[in-house]
Amino acid sequence: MSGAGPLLEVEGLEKHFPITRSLGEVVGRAKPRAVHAVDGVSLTIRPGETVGLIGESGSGKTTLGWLVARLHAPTAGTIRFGGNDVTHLSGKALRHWRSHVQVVFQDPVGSLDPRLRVWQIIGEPIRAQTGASRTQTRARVEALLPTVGLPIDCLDQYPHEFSGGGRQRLSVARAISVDPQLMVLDEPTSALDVAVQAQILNRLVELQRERKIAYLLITHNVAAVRYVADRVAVLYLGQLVELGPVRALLEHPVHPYTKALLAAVPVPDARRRKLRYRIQGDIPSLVDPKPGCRFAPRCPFVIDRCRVEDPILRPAPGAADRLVACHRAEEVGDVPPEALLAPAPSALSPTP
Amino acid sequence: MTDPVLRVEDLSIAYTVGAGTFRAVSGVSLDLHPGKVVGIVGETGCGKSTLAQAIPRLLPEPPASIGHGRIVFRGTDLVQVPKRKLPMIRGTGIGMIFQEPLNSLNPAYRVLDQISESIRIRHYRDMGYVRTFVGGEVPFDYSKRPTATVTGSLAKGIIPDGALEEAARDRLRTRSEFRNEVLEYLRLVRINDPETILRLFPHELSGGMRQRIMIAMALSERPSVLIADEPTSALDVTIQAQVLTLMKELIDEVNTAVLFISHDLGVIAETADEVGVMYAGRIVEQGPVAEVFHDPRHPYTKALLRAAPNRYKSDGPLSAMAGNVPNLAKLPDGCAFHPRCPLARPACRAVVPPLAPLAGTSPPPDISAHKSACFFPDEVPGLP
Amino acid sequence: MAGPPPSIPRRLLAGLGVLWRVLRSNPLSLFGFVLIVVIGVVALLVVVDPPLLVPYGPQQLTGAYLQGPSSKHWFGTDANSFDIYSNVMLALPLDLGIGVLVAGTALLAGGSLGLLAGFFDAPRTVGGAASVVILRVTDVFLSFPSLILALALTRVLGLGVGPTVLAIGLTWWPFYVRLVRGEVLAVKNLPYVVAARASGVSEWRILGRHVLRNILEPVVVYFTLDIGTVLVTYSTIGFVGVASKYPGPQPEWGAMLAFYQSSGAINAYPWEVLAPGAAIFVTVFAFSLLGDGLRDILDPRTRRAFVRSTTGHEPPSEVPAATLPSGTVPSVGVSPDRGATT
Repeated sequence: MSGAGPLLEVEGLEKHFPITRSLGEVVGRAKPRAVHAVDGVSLTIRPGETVGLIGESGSGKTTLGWLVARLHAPTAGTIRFGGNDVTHLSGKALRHWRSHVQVVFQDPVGSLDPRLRVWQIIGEPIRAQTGASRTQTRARVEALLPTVGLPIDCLDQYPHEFSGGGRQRLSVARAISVDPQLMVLDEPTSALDVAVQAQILNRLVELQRERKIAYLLITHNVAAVRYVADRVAVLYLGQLVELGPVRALLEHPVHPYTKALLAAVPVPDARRRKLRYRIQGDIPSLVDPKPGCRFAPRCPFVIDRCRVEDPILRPAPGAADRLVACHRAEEVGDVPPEALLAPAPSALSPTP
Repeated sequence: MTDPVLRVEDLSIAYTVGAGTFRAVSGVSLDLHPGKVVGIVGETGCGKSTLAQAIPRLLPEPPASIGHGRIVFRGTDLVQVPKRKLPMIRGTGIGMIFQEPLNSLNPAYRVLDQISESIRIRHYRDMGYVRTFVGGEVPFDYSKRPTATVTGSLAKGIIPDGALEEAARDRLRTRSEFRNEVLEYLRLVRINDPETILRLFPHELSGGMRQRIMIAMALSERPSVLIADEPTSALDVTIQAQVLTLMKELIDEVNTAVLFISHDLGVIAETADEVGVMYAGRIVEQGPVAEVFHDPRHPYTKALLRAAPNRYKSDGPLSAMAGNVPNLAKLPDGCAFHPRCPLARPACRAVVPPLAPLAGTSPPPDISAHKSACFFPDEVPGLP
Repeated sequence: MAGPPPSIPRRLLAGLGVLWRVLRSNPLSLFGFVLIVVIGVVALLVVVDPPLLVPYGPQQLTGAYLQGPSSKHWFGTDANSFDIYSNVMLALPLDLGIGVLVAGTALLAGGSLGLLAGFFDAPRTVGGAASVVILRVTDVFLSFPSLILALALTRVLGLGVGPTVLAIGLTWWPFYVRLVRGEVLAVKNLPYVVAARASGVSEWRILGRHVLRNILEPVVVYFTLDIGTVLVTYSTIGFVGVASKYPGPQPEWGAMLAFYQSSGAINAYPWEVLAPGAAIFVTVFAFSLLGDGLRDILDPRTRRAFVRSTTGHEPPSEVPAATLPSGTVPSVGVSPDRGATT
């Protein structure tokens, strides 16, 4: 693998899940429909860098992560890893390749087999990839535990004996056990309390520094992305709407959806309270989406063009390292996210 | 100052499971006032959900048991209600909104039937067909008149109009009357197309829509107290913002007292007037939300606020609290936070610090004064 | 704790220790377990050395007619002066054997098919096609009632134990296809299975290590209860009168029940029906109790709690989550996070 080039290149990636037609639809010869979970995403990750992928449910962020880890087969597009096309790897070659890309799953309870002991869980990738013996595996797991902040005397415990944070440490230990070059972190802290989340995030950042692992951090949590990511990609209904360096993107979002997302994050600062959110509408369905910008139905800056023409991901005005998919990027780029919040009518807000 | 609608006094709850006794709630006192939102914030396992479910006596008893304390609601101490009479306190004015709206709605019923059931129960109770344990007059619980968005039947109930009540008492309502009332509540929670929504099943609704239905159901009982247990934690952040906005508007409109439970400091900051920070079953800090969050006087509150990731990687590591939430079956002596506390001294290991008001604070009406359960509240601002 | 993994004999020993602790804390399961052991030993003795436990032959005339239970004839005698106790005992190995044989074969055959049909069911693959075939065939067999099939088969193959067992067996395995497939479907997309796949674990290993192991508990529990069900079904068929002939050289509980029920006056000689009826009841009951006990033993969550609470290291680390409101008592008794400061 070359050090200079990108570690992972994803181009035009698509994943459509076909919907089983009902009997009526089959008889009526209705066209087969599909959920467009990921719809043409291109992305690169450089060695040792963190790309944060923010999106809400239905944005396809987890599907994208699974595609990158080759847990789903893409409908279209290519995945290149270290310069090699891995889109169609299968069988033994795929299993071997998996040692380079590991996944930390969202659910720290469900992603650990309840019937296996700690050393068996963490040792599973080691045994699968190297065929190490039980004793060797145990020794390697023992050496690994301190790096994720677990005591070594927990080797023979079961996952249910750990707290949420402890379980997520197990997941991280399992992922790093085979020295991957890329880790897909799928909502690694969303099930954790804020204090434990801080511990895990700190650990992840340290591990990245020590081991030069690249991360694809998938989350809906803007705060986690802010701390861990170098670059941020914002996903809405299966498409990238904005991509750029973390600080620039979070402080000056260009795309209206990014603004809406940032404005919606509640801040533990009671001075900003009593503001009211002005974005209406639900996240629409992913089944055979209509043409045009997918945020158009909820966008406060929508114009007629947005409803008919797909916006393409293009360099953001005035920033070469940022991409945005909005027809009106030039006009709305400078509107602050707070503009999407309205103060409450004063008569109804008793100010403390 | 008005009288609280619901007063929790020195409430303690324990679970007895196997050999262990888990002290989930210890000595919690709260006052809920009409139109005021009391937020309870804390980490998993701090007892906040137990508290939320204990107030309407929804906890399974056993394994839970209320050790001591009072929950005074409309002149009745709910703790004293015998178990077999518990059904008689349901639907008497304490509404609940849960975290997972999909699990809290019956998947076999359409929206219409979900909501009309709670309306029917309240209606029967108002008419005296069902005995109720909670005494006093018929709940007239919205002390403030609603704004124009709340119309028709809702307003009818809000005005303590004897004549109207008498007329209603004479007959049971027809299905279409229930349907109209359901529509009112759906409009109340800003559902644009209530006629369509009525006919849908819970699984056909989005998460945000389901939570609106839950809110409509809770409000249709015309509660004088609304308990919201992590109502938006399962929602996406933009949908959460919409639902929180809706809840804030509704709380202003119907003027009910709200107990708002959340693990999210941001959500509490957005919604609550007063906040109680819970740790290991106790409220360790309480007071006006702006004051507590801006100038915390308990080391745990401070650490919690600082743990929220608010910086970039290049700014250095996040400040993470050392140690773990204590085991509720083996709480440390003295202050439960002392093993993790930078201010801990011998006194903290011996005595549980009382939740005492801080000097020199003057809270707004109907809101608790700023209190801290720390022996050294004045040293907290100096902590890193 | 750290060091080489425990050797296999040590793990076995530890397993037996856990078994004992679980059983000790659950008297009903212990009772069921002991009962099964006793029944098994008795059945074995009856086969190996009949005179030890069976005083009379199945059709031996004792000279005592329609006598109630006595020290000589524990369960009394019938109108032919046959000793009912001896007949009940002689029937035990047959009934028990049929139960274990039919349920066991069904478990192995149906279970394997269900495992394959559940795990390799991706459409447009060989496995997917095979799984469709398996399921359709299963449905065909499921639609036959055991009783009718048995009656039909006995017309073809003649009366007797063999045809009846065959008939029950033919209708029995499809349940296991359905049961195991359902369990596999529930487990195979759980995050930890995906996590294993993401680690590069091969599909067959995932099937054995993660899927099979995690569906074992409900399947084994069902199997235990099912032995009883087979027994009752066989007895029912025996009761109808096509399986075994009674009185005859090889008695069977169902046939005994049928014979005494039709021939005798139940009110006058209740012991005649009571004895085989009680035998069926006790055996089925013992298997039910055992099933409940197994559920506890097979689940590491309860297993661990027992180990901890009885060795006194720590309080039970898992409060049964179902009894508490969500998020009430989560990280109780958790040591691994201690000192885990970053």
